[in-house]
Amino acid sequence: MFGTLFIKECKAIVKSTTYYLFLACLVLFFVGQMESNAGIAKPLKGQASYGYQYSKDPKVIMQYSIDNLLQEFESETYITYPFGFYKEVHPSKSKQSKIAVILSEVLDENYDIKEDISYEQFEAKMEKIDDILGGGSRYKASGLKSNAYIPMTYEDAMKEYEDILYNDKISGAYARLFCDYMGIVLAILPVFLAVTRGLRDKKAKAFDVIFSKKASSIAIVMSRYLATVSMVVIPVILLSISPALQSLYSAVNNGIKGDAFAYLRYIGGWLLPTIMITASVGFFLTELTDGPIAILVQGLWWYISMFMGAESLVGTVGYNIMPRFNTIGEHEVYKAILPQLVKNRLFYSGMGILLITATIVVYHYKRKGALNYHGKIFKHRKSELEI
Amino acid sequence: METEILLNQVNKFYGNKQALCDVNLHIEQGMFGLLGRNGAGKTTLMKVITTLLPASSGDIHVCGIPVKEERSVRSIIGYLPQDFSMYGNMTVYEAMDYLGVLSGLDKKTRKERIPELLRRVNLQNNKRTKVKAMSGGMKRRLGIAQAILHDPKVLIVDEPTAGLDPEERVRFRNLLSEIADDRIVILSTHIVGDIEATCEKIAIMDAGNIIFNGTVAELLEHADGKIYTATVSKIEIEDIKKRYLVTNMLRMPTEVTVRFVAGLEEEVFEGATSCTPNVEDAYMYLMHEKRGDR
Amino acid sequence: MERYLNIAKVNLKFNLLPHIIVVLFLAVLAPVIMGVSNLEPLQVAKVVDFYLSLFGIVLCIPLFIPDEDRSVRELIQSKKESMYLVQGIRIVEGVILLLISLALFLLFMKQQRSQFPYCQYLYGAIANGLFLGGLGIMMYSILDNLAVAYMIPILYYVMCMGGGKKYVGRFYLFSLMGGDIGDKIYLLVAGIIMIVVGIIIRNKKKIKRFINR
Repeated sequence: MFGTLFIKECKAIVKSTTYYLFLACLVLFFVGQMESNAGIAKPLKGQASYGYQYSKDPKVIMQYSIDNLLQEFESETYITYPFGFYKEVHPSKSKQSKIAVILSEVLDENYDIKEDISYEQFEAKMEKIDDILGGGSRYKASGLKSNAYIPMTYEDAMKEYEDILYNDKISGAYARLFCDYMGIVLAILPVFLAVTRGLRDKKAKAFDVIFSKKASSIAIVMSRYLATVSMVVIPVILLSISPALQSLYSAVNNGIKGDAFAYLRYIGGWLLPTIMITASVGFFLTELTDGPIAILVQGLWWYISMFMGAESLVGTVGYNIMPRFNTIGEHEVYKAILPQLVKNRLFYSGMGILLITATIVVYHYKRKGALNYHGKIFKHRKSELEI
Repeated sequence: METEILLNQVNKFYGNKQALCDVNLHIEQGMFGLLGRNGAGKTTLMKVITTLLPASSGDIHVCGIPVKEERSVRSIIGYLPQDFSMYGNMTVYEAMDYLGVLSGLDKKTRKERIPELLRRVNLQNNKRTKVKAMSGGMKRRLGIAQAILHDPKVLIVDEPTAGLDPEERVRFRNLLSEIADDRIVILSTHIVGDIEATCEKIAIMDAGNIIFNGTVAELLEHADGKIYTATVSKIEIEDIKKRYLVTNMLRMPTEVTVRFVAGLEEEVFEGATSCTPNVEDAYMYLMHEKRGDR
Repeated sequence: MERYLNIAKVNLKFNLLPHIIVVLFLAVLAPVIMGVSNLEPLQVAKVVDFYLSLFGIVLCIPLFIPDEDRSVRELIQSKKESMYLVQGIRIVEGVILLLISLALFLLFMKQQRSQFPYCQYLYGAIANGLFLGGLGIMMYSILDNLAVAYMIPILYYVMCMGGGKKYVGRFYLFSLMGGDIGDKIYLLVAGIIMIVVGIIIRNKKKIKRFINR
């Protein structure tokens, strides 16, 4: 029974205009973002440039950070991006002197970084400065490494090449970029499908008749939710076929065996939680309020996450709904953030499940006429009194 | 499982407003009419029986099942709400199929029953018509078909004939009578003619109270000897309207034939003759008696 | 005149109020999430293009919400005042509110010693707002789906951010950040046209439906 209902819901989605607009947006975004996958080439000795990378050497990171800090300290103007938007901070005299104290703890009399300071200690001091500045500065512990963006040497480039080849089998490196891009739209698009579905009953005045049927609230809500999630995931998988094949082809060219299922794994682990939470926010708030408020809530969340994420496109995860990884390769960075990423993705999957469970509960009580608030039930009752 | 609905001391409050007051009813197989003016509490009562609204107090059993067991009750009830509608872009067949799935019917049963029911409500040629393109009468017929799709023991229809043209209305009543052959059909209406034509048992509601519960014959009996008819000139009519509750008027070129209620205490003027009450008269009399309005 | 004011008042109270609250919320939130003081012109332009554009979506799209229910719509249509007039008053009201909120916000930024040509930037912000709002209004009238009415302008915004100028040409939303005010006229005119087209289609639809029955 649930299966039939699920299929019917899927069919209904396929027949709706919203879905075609959704597909159009998804495809346009994909085409616009994904440059053609040129494959990777082995670096050759004597190249003019081997590209750039964020330094992993604590000494270098500390030096670059301090150089920057000294300059901003001098001008008494600090540039921060608390939510991804540019913000100049002009600290008060007392705050400046606090920063001066921290600087004196880190630097010796020649303005060199003290020999006996460990990277962890340094991080902690910088974090304090970030707090003084109100957050979003370049001294936030997690963002320190982005201060040291340095040219790669031949050895660096070779190491990167081998990482992509042997650790990522090429596919993984490109799949992460795919997730980075697609995550942006998938943190907002599903909410429209969910809200459309939620409002459909009200618009067609079909709720009373559906309420009175035998089907359980779990079956009704879950069939809608799972159909929505599936109908979002399917085109994402289809879109991934072309870059996946290109990666496989590139792997063959580089003499290794590619990973045919890398994209699927990344979609399941990285993108699916985003889709789940976005759709369930849509279902929950629509069922609760009978209005399109979910679009606003998710829109705002998405907006802030978008700009916060834009601050550091590689290597920070935190609790951003759409973890960014805007680069090809960097397997080591990926390995470093993996525990964070797993935590983040599990958290949002869990939240998605929690919210859809709450939706079922709301639906169940609405069906019994037991919820009393402004919205459908309220109007509902009013009309009963009039008739 | 006995085919009956029992309501015992049912109350329903919306905030401070009482929509149902101590409702006691025993409804058996056949057509049961629920009559009352707009706002009398008919829809509330029906929704309470259909599990769509919780009663504030009292017991309700539908075929032996307490309404607290929503799922079991829903599986034996068919409901046609007042403003029935479905998703506009679904076709008639798709809508039936979708609602059939929600009623827990398997594919085979749906395939058998849907065409049969569409034939019964005369929609067999509209399988591919979209719901949004249907007229009010067609929608209502679709509504009845979906409500009996899972062969419920109880069918509850809220104001089924409102907005239908006379011909459609008659057809609809006949359809309901047919359906009532082997189950309970509860029908609410504020149109007396619907009841007269179809129901044996009726209840009349006013301001949340059941003010009458019995057979049509009993209702008529109640008004026996209180209804008069007279043919008067047009000038006299205003005076009669002031003094009596007029239930019907038939205007002719120079004169008017009126039917009116006159209680025993009231003097009847000369020329007025007693007549057999019809349901409309009896209903008006009852309302008049309870509320003293005209 | 009193009648028109009354229509406007009813719209304000029953329809626009939550949306005004949202705009207020966005305005109050702004200084928390971004710098508004001591900005260079191009930094202000970023705020205008990225942030103030959203005000248009919030304030313009509610145009048709009051008559979303078809029976309500037909009831209003049956009244003496034509739907065009009622919707005309509503949209003028929305646009005036948009103008006021943008003007005040930019004034606030001026007060915070940000450097920028006030009128030019106000014009740019209005053009963006009307374009996104108009896009939503038109989509709403064509597809009769509120979610989609919000979806399309938001996605247009995302497209501009992602794909950039190469896809949308002169209708690029974020041209002010690039120091170019010239293209805003296209957005402004397109926005107004879409609003008008939206209102016309919305009311023609009723005729189509009528025939359908």
